[in-house]
Amino acid sequence: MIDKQLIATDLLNLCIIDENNTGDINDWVCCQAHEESTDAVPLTAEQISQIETEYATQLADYNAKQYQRDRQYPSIGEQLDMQYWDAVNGTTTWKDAIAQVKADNPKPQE
Amino acid sequence: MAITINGSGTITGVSAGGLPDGCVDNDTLSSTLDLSSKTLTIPTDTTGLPAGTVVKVTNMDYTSRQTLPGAGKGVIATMGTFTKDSSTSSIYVIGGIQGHWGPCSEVGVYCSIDDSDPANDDDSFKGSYMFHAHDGDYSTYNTPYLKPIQIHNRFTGLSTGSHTVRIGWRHGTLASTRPFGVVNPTRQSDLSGIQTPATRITVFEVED
Repeated sequence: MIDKQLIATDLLNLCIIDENNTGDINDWVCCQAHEESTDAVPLTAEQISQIETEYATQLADYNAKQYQRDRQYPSIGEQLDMQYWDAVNGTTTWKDAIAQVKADNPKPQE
Repeated sequence: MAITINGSGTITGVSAGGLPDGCVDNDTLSSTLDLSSKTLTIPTDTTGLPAGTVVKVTNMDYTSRQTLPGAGKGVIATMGTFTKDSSTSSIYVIGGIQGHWGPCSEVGVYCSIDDSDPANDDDSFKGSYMFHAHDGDYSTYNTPYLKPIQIHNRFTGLSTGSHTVRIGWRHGTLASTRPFGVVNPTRQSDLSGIQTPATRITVFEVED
């Protein structure tokens, strides 16, 4: 999940307030950190454009790595156990298990 | 004026203080008091109230989802105002600030009363800082750790009349940090399962 409001804060270095908790950027107001929240003013069109551009960039990067988050590998302990018994028995259980997770969640083609 | 015993059973003509002491004694008073058809008016004069009496309770909520920059110090919100009635009372402020997402290395969150620039550490009517360190992975935005912070302060010496309560944060060396990224996380925007999207401060005026 990419938080557009946090992105806006880090991009502009301002407090961003969603006064009515709508999530709509057009409703947001901003102020300097040292100012009163009651002194906040609406975002300008230029600021909104900046935020939307940065958000789209980060969202695309986030979505492109979805396959990594979907890969549920066995725990480190389980993997070490697999490797031990593979070494003892000459099997490929660990390598097969990892390959299966990768195969089930392939990296999207560029 | 002559004393008259009326046919209705009332007596007129008795001046104030004209009845002897003990005319209505303890045995005459009812053991119960039925005020069901009466309006009880509490005197506004706080003089003489015993210590520990709660004079007034004022509640203040801040519900907007707000994000904070890593500015080292700042105002989070002007919570509201309360009116102090007694010149000899103390003000106790109790509350909680709901937030999530770091980083937040040992930054203090505080409340202040009548401090026009509470981000500066130069005002006597400022509560003590409540420190906390980050409590988890904050490397991405996708870390919805709920971080409630307690406010618990006592203010003395305030005059009667209206006063303004604010909350803010400050790092000891003004390092670029914040107590959390999001104040008042909401169910729509954040992943936490149990959320109270309200920072609440309760102000107690208590007679000393």
